[in-house]
Amino acid sequence: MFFFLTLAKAVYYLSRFLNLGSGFTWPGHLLLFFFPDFIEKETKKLNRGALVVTGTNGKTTTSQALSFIFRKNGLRVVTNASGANLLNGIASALVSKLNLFGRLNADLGIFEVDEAAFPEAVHRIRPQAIILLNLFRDQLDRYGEVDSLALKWQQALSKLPPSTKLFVNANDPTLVFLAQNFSGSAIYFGLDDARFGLGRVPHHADSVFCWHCNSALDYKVCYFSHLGIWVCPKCGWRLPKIDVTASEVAIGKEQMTFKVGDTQVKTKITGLYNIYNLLSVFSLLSYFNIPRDSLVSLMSEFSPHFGRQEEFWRLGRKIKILLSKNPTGFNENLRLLNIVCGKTDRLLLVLNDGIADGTDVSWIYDVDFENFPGLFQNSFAVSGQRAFDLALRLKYAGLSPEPYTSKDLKAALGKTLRETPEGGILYILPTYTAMLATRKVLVGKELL
Amino acid sequence: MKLTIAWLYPNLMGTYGDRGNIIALVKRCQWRGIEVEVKEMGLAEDNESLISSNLIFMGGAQDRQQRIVSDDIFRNKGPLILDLVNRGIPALFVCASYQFMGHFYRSADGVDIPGLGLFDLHTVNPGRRVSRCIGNIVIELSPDLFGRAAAKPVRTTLVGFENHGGRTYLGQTKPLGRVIKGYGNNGDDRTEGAIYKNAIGCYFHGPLLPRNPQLADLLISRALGVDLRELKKLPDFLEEKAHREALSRD
Repeated sequence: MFFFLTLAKAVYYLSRFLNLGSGFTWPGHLLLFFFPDFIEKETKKLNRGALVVTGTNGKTTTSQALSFIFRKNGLRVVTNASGANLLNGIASALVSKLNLFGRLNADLGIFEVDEAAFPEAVHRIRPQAIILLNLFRDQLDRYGEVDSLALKWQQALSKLPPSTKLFVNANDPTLVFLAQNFSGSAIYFGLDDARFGLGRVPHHADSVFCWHCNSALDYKVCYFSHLGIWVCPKCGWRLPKIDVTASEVAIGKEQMTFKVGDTQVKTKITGLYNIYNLLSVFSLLSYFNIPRDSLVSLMSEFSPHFGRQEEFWRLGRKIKILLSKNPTGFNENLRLLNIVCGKTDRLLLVLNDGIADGTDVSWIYDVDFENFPGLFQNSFAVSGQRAFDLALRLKYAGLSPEPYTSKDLKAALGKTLRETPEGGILYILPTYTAMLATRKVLVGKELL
Repeated sequence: MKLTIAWLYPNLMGTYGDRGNIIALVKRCQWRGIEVEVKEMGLAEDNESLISSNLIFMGGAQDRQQRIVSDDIFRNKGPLILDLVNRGIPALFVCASYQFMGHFYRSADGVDIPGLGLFDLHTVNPGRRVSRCIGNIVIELSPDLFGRAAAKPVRTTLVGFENHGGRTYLGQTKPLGRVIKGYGNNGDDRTEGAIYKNAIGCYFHGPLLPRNPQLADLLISRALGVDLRELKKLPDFLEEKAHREALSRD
């Protein structure tokens, strides 16, 4: 063990030193190959146990916020912070906190887990609490259909002890179904602010059918995708009583405020979809007895990174990256920008089709570009490996004039940045590998 | 001249960008000044709007949704769809609905789920141990698609993405084309899709028509009962660019 641990750590430091992109999962690969039960063994050493966060959108932001607040409360946290959320990534995170004598330098594990890896991961980690954020359509080529994924989660949950605490988004019918079938108990969080309802359930919503009788669900309010205040008109299955509710939401360019019960919360991250991430954090931390005052003040300090509303300054302009990797995320980012985008702000959309993005880019036709003509009035640009497919999508959304389109990301980034008026913000909406490529251009010394 | 599209079960059969096909048909009519209407046909809709349509589209679906649809189609819209296609109304059936238009679908556990039998074909799901057919696909369209009278479009390739577990085997039905890259109907005989009268079935899931405007225009011209050459030419620079990009990818 000692030898391999040394080797794994060496690989870890070497890959960090060389700044290799895959550096965060290689040590994990190595260890899991030689020690298949490495994750089970190491997570057992955590004296405060482990937490797992999963869902299609919001995993990284949520686990970052949890880690930030738990650390500020004096706990030593091990977390897979950079979104490496398969088993390798979890093992790598654990390696980074092991000393050469095999002692784990952490009290609490906070792991974001890929939707497809969830069953295997919870089986190994045995978390004391799980946050279920949402389940949207994402990467059909990799994950398969939403329903079959949900059933795999159900199976995984049925093997966990009832002492496992679930924190569940009550606005998502599929997750409520899973929680109600679980042997233990759940704490429900949800949004109650009808002003943010859409007129109708959007066309790309996935789970608008009753899990008990297959009837179409009625939505009194639908916030986005299939999240809302729902009831089955036939069998009466409905949204459960929400334990932690957000209301009075106010979304601004640089901050957002909302109320949780009587408590006023202010955060740097903004956008309706982030309410859910923050609510799950609030629910879990309250359950773990973090004092309310400290919780509220720490939430206001938290700023995310790694492409989730991450900010850069280049050539005197502010750049904000809003990871947009599936229809729901993309639509919600467009909705947010439609509220906050000004005349001096510019947009750059970047579409890649790497394995981590999903090699099938059909989903761009589920993004409602046509709903936001105002947003595309200023000049904007399109880039990435599938730039021309995205430009074509925008053409069929009836947006004109045609955007500047180039597969050369550096060129597109440089051009849009120079064209952004001083004092304006360049908003970049990339898919996952496009976000990594964008950060590489921005963080590296490459000239724009 | 008016194009009326019956979009069958948009909420149930629309897994992944399927509406891109509707968007393409609508826009390509609007850009030519042709009046166009889309009738979304859910479970509750009566058959009147289906009768008055001159183009039918039905997309892919998840298993659960497919069961809901199959109940409705057998009890309700099925016979009418057969009748319309037999009268020459063009139709596009993608993925799950393509399979459903065959004689039967043999599920992974060996149960035969009957289909409408519009195309002479059947589909077999080889089980979870055999991997799905997933990836980019390119085919050369069959000359049968264009018939003798109509003009052939400049582009006779079709580019897209496929994602299906079932393997489809054709009987007397002619294929839509020959596979150049990808799996197609079953990964063995290099056929892809099926043609019957003016109905097309295929595994090109999601938004097939934006990158293949020649097929969109063929459907439009058949629906309107005009020759392809009579449709106004459109500046398809981006369509052509995206199509060529897809051809050159490995």
